[in-house]
Amino acid sequence: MFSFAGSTFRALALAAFAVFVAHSGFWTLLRVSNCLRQAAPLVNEDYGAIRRRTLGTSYARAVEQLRRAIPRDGEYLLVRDVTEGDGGGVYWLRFELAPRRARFLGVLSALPDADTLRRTLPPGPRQVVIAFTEPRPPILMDREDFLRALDRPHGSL
Amino acid sequence: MAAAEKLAGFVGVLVFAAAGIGWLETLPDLRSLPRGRALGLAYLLGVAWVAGSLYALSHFAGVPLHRSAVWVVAALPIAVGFVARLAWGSAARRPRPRRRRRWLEAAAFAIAAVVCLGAVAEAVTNPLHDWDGRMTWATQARYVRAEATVDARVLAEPQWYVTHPQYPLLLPVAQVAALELTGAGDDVHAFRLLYVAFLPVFLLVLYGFPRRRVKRRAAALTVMAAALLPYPAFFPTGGAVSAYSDLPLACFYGAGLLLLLRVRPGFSDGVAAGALLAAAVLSKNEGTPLALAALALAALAGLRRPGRRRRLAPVGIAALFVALAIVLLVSWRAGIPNRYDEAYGSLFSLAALWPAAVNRLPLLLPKIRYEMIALDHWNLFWSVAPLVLLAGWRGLGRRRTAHLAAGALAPLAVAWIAYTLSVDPAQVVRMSWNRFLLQASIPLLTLFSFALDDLLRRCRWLRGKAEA
Repeated sequence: MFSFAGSTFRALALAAFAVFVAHSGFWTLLRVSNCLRQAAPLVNEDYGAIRRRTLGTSYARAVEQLRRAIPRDGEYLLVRDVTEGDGGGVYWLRFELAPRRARFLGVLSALPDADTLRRTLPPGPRQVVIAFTEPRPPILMDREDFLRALDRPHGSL
Repeated sequence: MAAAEKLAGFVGVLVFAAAGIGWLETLPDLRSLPRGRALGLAYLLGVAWVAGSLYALSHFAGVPLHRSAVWVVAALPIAVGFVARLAWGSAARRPRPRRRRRWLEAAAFAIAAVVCLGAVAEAVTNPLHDWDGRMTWATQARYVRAEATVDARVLAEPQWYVTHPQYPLLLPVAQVAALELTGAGDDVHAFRLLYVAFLPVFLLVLYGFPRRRVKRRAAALTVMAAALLPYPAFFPTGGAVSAYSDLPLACFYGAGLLLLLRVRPGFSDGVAAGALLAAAVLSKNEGTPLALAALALAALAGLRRPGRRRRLAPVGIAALFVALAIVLLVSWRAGIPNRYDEAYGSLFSLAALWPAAVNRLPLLLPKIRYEMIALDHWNLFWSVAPLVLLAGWRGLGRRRTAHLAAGALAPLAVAWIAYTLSVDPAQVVRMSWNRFLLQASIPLLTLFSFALDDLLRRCRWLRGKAEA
């Protein structure tokens, strides 16, 4: 009796394992075939095209402009705008601009008024970069322009 | 030209593997390992050596992380291994009878190869698009590469916006080495292959090490199951297609633990395990407690057997490597002010752990269960695995089962401590449980292979077909 129950349980366990292999195998092969199907026509795609395809043309172009404006060993002030949600846009932009050094000012809507901010701003970086949630491209502003704009309603940035 | 650039990442992978093969040639007990198993171990040793040495040379001696330094560090073990091979030749290699590969093994290897090919295709086609990879690891690699030092100004000066600046940098340094080897630019994502290569290594470790304790069909089926898990291969928050350090940590920790838990570990096992556990320390914050847990478990295993001194010697050698890695990590961190970090270390106290460690169970267990049964994370595996472990319970009566189980629990215990200290544990579970499970997966899947072996042995109706 116990032997029969044991055999049945072992058979059930193996059957469950077989179901896992079949189910997972199907989805894995589907995923692999998608990866290969995507890769095959893009073998000769250059890095600029890859960036435009994955980041969006306007975002990739904006990052290129920022890279030209801020020297590779330079620094910038970084502000995060979360009005359209907080999807990590500030991290992605910092990654795209690295090794340029970022000094984080904070969330745009939580920044103090321009006079207060002017007094606390570090003397170095001249450029302010505002990061939005992807795919909205970032904005580059001169420090004084940014402070002037801060006194206006935030929507005007 | 673009196609060639994309495959430049293979140069880094090959150089790491060659450096590891060089070291394996100098380790008498390991140089006669079967090719597949040796290759997996070699890649881990190569990454540990090249990135670990560059990390130490950059921090202690101020050696710039340029191409010439990478080539010198990588060439040293290759040259030493070549000399060792010439000196010892094939005398140390035992001739092995050529075995016929059975259909189940062939199927498992074919599936594993197809999955790895899919991960390679993803990595060469698309740039990095995961969360932590871009927020922390790959960004740190760019800072380190630009300043050619692990003590980069941007990390050491507190005013700069760097997330988790004290996270250990072994994998970012490996990434820098891989890119320096080919002189690739910032936007070249060829370094992703460095992370993808840990997937076949993970599978080779899973096949090779339990293989001496279980029949081939059980080892092959375990590899097949591991290859079919969505999380280790394709998940963008910790899998091989991401630039997270969790799969590398799983390999370093798991392989180091298995080497130390061998039935008769020798000097070579101690050196190799020490290098791998040192790499675990330098890969992630949780690498240090995991390396210490592996050493403690191996010491316990050695104490319980006759001939203690001989059995504990490899653990002592490994402990020396781990201690050196901890010294490097502490010294490097001393110059880096922490910021933009959860700082779990500063929250840690016994008072903070109790009674929250128990009180939070009812809140967190359902969330953990959800993570484990979500089809796009682990498919049906964690629903099926308990059945296999129960049905094959006799297979868990082996000598090292308790040590392996404790080794699997170590990453989960680290996770539980983090959840106990966290102010938003439910959110942390969602973000990290699967990654801790991945870190525990080599000892867990080794236990799974023991149970599966017993299950297959005891199903007599299968025997005729499987042995055929």
